[in-house]
Amino acid sequence: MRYFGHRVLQSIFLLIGVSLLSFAFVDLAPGNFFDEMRLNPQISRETVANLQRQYGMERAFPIRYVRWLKSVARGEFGFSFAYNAPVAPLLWSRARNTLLLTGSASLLAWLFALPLGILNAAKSRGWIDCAGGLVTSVLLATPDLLLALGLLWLALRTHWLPVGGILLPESAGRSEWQRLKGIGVHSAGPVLALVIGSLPTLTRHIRTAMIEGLDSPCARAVRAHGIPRWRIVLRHALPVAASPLISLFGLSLGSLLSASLLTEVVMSWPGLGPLLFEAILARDLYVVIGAVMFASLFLIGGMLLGDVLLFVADPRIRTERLA
Amino acid sequence: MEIQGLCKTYSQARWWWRQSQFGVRALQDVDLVLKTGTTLALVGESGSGKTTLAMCLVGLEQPDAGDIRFEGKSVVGLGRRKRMAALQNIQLIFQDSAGALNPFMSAAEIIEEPLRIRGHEHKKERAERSVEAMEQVGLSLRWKDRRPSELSGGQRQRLAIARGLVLKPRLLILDEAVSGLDLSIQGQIMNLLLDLQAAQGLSYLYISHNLDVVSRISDEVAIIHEGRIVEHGRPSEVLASAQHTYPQVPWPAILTQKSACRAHSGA
Amino acid sequence: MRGNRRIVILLLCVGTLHLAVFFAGFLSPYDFAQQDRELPFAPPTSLHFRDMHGTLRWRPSVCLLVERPAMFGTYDEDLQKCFALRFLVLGPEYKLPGLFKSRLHLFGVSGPAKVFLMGTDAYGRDIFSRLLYGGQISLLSGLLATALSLGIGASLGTIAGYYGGWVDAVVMRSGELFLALPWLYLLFALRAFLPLHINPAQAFLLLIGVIGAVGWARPSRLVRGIVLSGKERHYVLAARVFGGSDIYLMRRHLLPQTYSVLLTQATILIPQYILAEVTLSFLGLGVGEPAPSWGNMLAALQQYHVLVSYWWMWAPGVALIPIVLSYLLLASALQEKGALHRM
Repeated sequence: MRYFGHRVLQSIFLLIGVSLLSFAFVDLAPGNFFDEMRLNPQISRETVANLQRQYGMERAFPIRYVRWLKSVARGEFGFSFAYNAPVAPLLWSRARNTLLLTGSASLLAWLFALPLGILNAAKSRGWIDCAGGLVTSVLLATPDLLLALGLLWLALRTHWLPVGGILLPESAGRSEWQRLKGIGVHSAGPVLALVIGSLPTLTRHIRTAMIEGLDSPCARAVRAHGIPRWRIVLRHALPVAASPLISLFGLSLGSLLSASLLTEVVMSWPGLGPLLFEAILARDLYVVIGAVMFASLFLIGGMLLGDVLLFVADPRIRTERLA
Repeated sequence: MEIQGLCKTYSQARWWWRQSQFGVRALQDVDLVLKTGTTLALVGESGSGKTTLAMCLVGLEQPDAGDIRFEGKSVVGLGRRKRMAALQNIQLIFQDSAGALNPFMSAAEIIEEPLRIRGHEHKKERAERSVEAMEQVGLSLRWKDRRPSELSGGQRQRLAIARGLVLKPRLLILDEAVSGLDLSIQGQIMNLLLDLQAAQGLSYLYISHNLDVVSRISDEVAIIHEGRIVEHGRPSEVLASAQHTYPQVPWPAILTQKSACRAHSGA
Repeated sequence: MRGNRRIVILLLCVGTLHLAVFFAGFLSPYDFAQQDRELPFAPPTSLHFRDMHGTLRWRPSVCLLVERPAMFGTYDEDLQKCFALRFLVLGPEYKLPGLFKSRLHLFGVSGPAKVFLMGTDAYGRDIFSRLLYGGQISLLSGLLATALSLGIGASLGTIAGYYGGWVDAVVMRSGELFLALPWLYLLFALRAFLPLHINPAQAFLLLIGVIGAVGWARPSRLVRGIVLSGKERHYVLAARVFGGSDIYLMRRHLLPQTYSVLLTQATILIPQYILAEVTLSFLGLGVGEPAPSWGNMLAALQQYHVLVSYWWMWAPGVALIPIVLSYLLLASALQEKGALHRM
């Protein structure tokens, strides 16, 4: 329990540090939202100055930071200049879309990668393994950008998948089921891109972990007893391989919000990525900070979860810690 | 060299709060005297504090209390520069020659390193001194540009001694200088050390757990046990009384380690 | 040793790819900004090895392209007007980066026909030439940003490991902070809030600075680990006895211990950083027109009609694959060698 407390405390400090850092980076940089306005001759100087004062932009850095913190405490996460609304609801709706995407992609990827990785580790050598390795390597080397563009091309050429957006245009009056179906169909492209992108790395990690598990002293000892192969793989090698995989799982949970930025932008999925991108182009200060904080929150939470899961799952860590 | 009342405690403190009562007492009130031109042997089992003493003497560790006087002048509590200057005449030869020599450097570079650090800028002078040192230890000049990994154990130890000699020290501290070598090589190195002592009037502080070797080359023996000096005197006297007073120390095992010294000196 | 041979082969691969890009000026027939407004989106020129009379010749020839009337972007070849490809010709002047200027090109066509080995883009600029020049920018930014990251990481890691105490704590906590921020998001946020509209040279330097400064945390951790154990080695202690100063010890004895780890890290980081540059330029946050970068060349694919109709525009993306692949294979080969060493 003390271990958890220590880790949670550490994570909170990290969060505060992250918020300060991102606020500093984004805030101290030159240029802000009102520069565009100033260029517009129809808007008078005073209006711009008033707007700036209204948003409190001319105050000093610490004051702005504290005001932002208060806004976070209220649950608003600051105010968006471009959308003229509090940032938090914006972030939530977009984050939901992103999580939908990355959550299903993650699930599918792990679902496919686990058996692939285990099988790969259990029977190495052979031309299937070689060919598979080659395909994996090439896929690994293919940038996400290319994958996203490729699937976009496929969608445009074959009309199997809709391009862009999340809902069918006529879905306003439709039933819940049809809306869900619409969402599912729209997400197929980006999800596929994410799955293909992450499958090679994941399979590789699982394979490495399984090989180490199979090579571990306990598995080798058991093999000498003549126990059938599949049993060794499942009952003896898997638990050893599980610990690095569990921390990997925790980490991948953490990157759920941030991994799909490029794919979302390219395939026009209304998630957190495109929001960040637009806000960046428009210099919408608090949206950018909010998005970065959100993603960071997930990352830190993921790391914490990974540690917690590891603690629960691996008896060695427990004894090491309590000793 | 005189050592008086040396104390050193290793505390397991975190850097932001101190817990000095929590420590390991490495040295407690150590008194030793080493006369010029002689060899003092320091014997003890592992963990008795002998390496800590060696570290304090060369300035790698600072003692918590006590005094070390070298040629009449105290070397404790000095600033870094003064300490380095004062301790120039004391050198330390480590046990594992493989670990004590940088595997990325050639033999010549290793020997020249002390000179380079001390600021002897002239390349020629450095080269001359290193050749001189190699000849003194009997290391053939063809190994000049080889890496330590290409040399044998005995050659590496000679190299380490050469490096120790290049600054022309007066006192050499040898921390287990021959353990880990083949018996025949041990004898060669021991004889080399004796020759060097005779030729240059060096003093040795020989640290070991091998009482047998030690009794043959040292003029005086001190036994250290759990951080305290428990015996001090001529080798034969010390040997006899040690077995008596400290039965829990495995003296028989220590005593029966054979040494090639005997074979060489014929006694 | 098979392992060593594999590493050498992979190093040669990587080296060749980089060298090809370095000699972009020599290998490409045209300048990267040279436009041909009459031939936008021309497909790759076919090389004819038979001349007008049907005889086989070793020297390929290229025929004049004529736009099909009333159809934009489709071309026919005028087989009556063909010109031979010449090697080692004089063409537009270029400068080998950091070296001299020259006018010598590997190949070119004398005559009104153009040899577009990989077609042209919307402004009629030769994709092949832009690919090579763009490679200079993309690959170089990867290399330089990696050097920056490793430089910062190695220095901070060495200092943290050597001095320990509060210095160590400060460096490690800040490293954790950087690792807790999602990398791409941080990159975007940092880059975007610096001036958006700057010329390509400034953008290039800025990009390197931003990408390099964000990624120092992991190398510094690795270096710190090595230094923590390495500073207790006896040869380091011996050098301390000789009077070596802290800086001397760090430079002469501790840093060499980190070289192999730094090398492995480099092979992992370089492709990541190249992709980071490509991503940023693709989204318009990196190097902009008219300077070519694989990122901004790929940006043309964001228009659907280009994506579907003109397959040669994919060239910069496809060119990334062998480069990233070679680095990946090199990285795993080095890691295996490192694991073998430790055993």
